[in-house]
Amino acid sequence: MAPTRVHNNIRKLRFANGEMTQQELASRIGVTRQTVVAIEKQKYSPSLEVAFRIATVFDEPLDAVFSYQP
Amino acid sequence: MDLSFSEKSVWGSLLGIAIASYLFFPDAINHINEGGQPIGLFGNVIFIVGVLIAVEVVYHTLVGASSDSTGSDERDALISLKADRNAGYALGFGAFWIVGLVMFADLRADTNALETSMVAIYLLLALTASEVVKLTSQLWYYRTGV
Repeated sequence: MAPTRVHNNIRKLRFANGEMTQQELASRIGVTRQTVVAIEKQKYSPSLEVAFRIATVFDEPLDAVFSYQP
Repeated sequence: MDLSFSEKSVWGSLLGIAIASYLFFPDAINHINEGGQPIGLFGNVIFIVGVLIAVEVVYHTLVGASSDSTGSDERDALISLKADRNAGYALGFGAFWIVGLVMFADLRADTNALETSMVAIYLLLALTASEVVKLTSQLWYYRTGV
């Protein structure tokens, strides 16, 4: 299956935020670590709510975290 | 492989169903073909289902104890829904296959397919196959993305 067209900067943002672990991010947004892994690898597009939670954790606007590349 | 609790759970269920099917179906089909009554299979079904439940409970307890989290999230739910859809297709295909066997049995020299007991075995087989399709679909979506 082709990866999702929703790209993200989560990996960069995690490292820019004190090298936050995937587990820590997962706990803060209420998903499993494997889901964070899948989002980072663009194997899964999160729901809008989870996307907003991720942006909130990094204190960034949504479009600084996610972008759509058709 | 980095597996979540849900994915490990699916692997356990798939393995359990595969073993249970291997233990049940060949014997059941032989039993019916040799003229045995379906009631003779009742004990086998109860025993295999009982063992399957016990093994799954132990397996999930062990896996839960060794996992970061035993919860599921929106990705697990989406994968489960998509897998349910595929299982529905498989069950529908199985149902039409059985209906076809019953309707066209008169055209065949071998009329075993008409026997109620054999139809029951085929129905169980279709149900099991749909469950296998569901579990393998889940594993596919977990690995390739959804």
